[in-house]
Amino acid sequence: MDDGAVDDLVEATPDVDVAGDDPPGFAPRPNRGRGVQVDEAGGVVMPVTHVANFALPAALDVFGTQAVETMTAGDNLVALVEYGPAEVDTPLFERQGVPRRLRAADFSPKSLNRTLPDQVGYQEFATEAGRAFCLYVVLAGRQALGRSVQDVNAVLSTLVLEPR
Amino acid sequence: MTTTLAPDTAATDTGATTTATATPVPATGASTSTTWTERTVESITRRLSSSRLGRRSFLTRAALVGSALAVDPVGFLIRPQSAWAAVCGLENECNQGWSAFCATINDGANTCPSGSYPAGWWKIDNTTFCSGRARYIVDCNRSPGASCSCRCANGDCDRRRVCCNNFRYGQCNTQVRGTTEVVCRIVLCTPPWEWGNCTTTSATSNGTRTHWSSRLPSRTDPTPITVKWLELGLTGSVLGDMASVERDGRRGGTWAVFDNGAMGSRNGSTHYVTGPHGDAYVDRRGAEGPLGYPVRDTSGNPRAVRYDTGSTYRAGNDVWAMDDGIDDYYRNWGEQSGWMGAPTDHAGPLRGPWRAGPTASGWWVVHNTDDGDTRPMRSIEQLDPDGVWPKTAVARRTAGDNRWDTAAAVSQETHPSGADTVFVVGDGRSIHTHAVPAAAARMDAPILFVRQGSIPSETRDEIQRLDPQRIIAVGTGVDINRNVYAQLNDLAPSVDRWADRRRIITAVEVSRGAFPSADDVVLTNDRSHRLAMTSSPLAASLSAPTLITSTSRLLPVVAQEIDRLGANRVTIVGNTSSVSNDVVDDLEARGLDVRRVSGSSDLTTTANVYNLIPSARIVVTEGDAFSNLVSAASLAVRRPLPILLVNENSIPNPTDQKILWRRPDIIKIVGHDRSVSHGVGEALKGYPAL
Repeated sequence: MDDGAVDDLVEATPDVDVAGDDPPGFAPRPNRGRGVQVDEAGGVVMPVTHVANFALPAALDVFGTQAVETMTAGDNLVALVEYGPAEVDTPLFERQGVPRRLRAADFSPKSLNRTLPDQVGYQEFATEAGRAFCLYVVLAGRQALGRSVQDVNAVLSTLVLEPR
Repeated sequence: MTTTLAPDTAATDTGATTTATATPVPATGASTSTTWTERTVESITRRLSSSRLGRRSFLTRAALVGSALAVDPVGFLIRPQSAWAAVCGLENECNQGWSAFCATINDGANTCPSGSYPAGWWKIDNTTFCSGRARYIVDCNRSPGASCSCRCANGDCDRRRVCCNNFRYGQCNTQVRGTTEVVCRIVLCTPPWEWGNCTTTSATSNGTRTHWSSRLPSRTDPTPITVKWLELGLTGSVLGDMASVERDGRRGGTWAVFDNGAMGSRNGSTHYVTGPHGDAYVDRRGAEGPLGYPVRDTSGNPRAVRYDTGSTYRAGNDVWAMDDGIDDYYRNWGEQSGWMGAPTDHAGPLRGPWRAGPTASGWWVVHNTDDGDTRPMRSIEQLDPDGVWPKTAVARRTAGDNRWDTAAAVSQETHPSGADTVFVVGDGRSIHTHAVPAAAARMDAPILFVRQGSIPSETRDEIQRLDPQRIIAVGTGVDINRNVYAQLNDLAPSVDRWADRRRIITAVEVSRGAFPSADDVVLTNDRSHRLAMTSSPLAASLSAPTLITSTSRLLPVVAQEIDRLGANRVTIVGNTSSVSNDVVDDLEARGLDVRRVSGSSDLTTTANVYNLIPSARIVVTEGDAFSNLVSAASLAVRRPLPILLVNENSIPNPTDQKILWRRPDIIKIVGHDRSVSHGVGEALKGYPAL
């Protein structure tokens, strides 16, 4: 067996644009142009866009678990994950609009899928443009948290989500 | 890296490096019935079982060692202390940041603990555990309003985090707002949207492929039973903990016993049964026994549970099993609701090729494995060890579509070549029929029914077939009006009416008409039509008329008729509440020899009349149907044959005991299945015959 299905993880189209110039140091990996994929069992693969200011590994889970292991102080990872129509406007996704401006206080070492030393996370579910999203951000290095939050906000400010 | 494990087999779910071959080699120095891996597992399991594992079951120990061998065989055999690490996979420590498995913290239950709920899921692709398909991990997050505190699990090797990571995958129960801590994770092979309230929005995290718990089944090559048990919740399932190792069943399947039931698997169909039915299934040796495999999942205590070669049935506080041909027969006859009633024990083998299941009716369902036949039997004492079916009664039904047709059918049976004389009586519970069957026997005449105002076509056709010289209409105009009487004149050269408005005198009239003389008289109560009918074969056997009397005294007209007949003996049929001892005294005062045949009820009186009529054949009918009683009497007086009464759907105990005692070879049933059911007809076939 392999640890396969890397393609399934990240290569789908969220119709997400990170507009304009990339913020300094950030390299977006939007996964566009592949359409909705359905796996063998009938699961609809989540479209996801990862944006990071460090080199992302080739194999990357939806919430970037392979990436967080390699993050060092000052590394930032943003994952914007799109859910299906069934989730739109449900109570979990009742917030209108994916956040564009975060504060340092929004981040917590507890808000992580995998808790690792010197990392903090932020997770928010929301509906925007009639679509359901989860924004997940991981920042490494608490010493420069304010700067990292600024960098992430710069990325988020360029985010354009359009109706399907 | 590829590690080849010889000489036996192992598979992996590591996702990265280790594979194995399955190269069989001759076993040396050990039983050929076990594989090298099995022997190794057993050996190491014993080694580990002393102190480190505490109360953990053999099953878990085997799973641990098996998993360790599969994941890292060489390393594990050299350094068995690493088994735990091999079982629980990478990143198993608390400070490595992942959440623990529910089975670890929930006493082996693969379910969300109290105070948590499924909040999201992800999958791991191409897993051995799920037969090459995806394995799904469902996060159980703290329920809003519940509380828990962050801690490390204290599993044997799964020491991951509990209630620490405030994170949500978000595809389950999206009606629940917000994000709370992940308490623990559960494992499935069924897609979560088929398992619970989750959507199909799919996330994959193959990096967690090796994550596992020692309280989960072995991660390699689980059986369908193991996977199903896992998805039911392992120890948190309706089945509870596994109580025995999975073992082979019949015809290539397997089965396993659990604390609260059992599960069987064959040809891709895996089902469990719990509760009293599960106990019964285990009691019958599960899939190694005659029931085979459950055909659907069953909890609680339903009326019946199906297996591929049998059923278990609820019977009061018990559950009993019927199998194979026995069960086919029992189901065909309505199971507990049918004439046999509920089982009273498990069906099982008898001497020779016989198998049998007892029922509350007293009948057994008997199956002959030599010839494959199945029959109901009232007794199994006569079963031949060589497999020859014992002789049982032949049950024949005489019936038509209605009362007139049934009477005509009896007439055709008793008088196939016609009759000089025919009795006709009213069909509406006429009070004037008491004495007719005895007279019909004396005059060799059938008895047919007419309506008060018309002759049914069935009766008319039968009279024409009989071509009688004489028709005797018994009953007043209330039973047979003038118009009908006139029509009867078109069907025979001579028509008479024997009747009086008082039924006692009608009986005297019938006696006068049919009996010039008689040594014996049968005397019954004037209100019991049933006793008059069932005692008529006795009258016929004695060449006696039936007379009737009030309970308290013998009317002079009856006494005079007895005198006219020249009778010297009177047989009273009925107890003292039917015919009082004052009547007996009066008869004895007249110099008559009086005997009484009685019982506590009409039913038992009828059964005791039976003793006085020696015959290897009997007539049965339902005791509340007026017309069937008359037709049964018409049939029974012919030879004569004793009459016994049954209920529509059962055989009363007095009747049952008399048939068992007499062992008749032929039982004639009179009446449609609306009065004597098919089930009773079937039961009658089960009596032993001489």
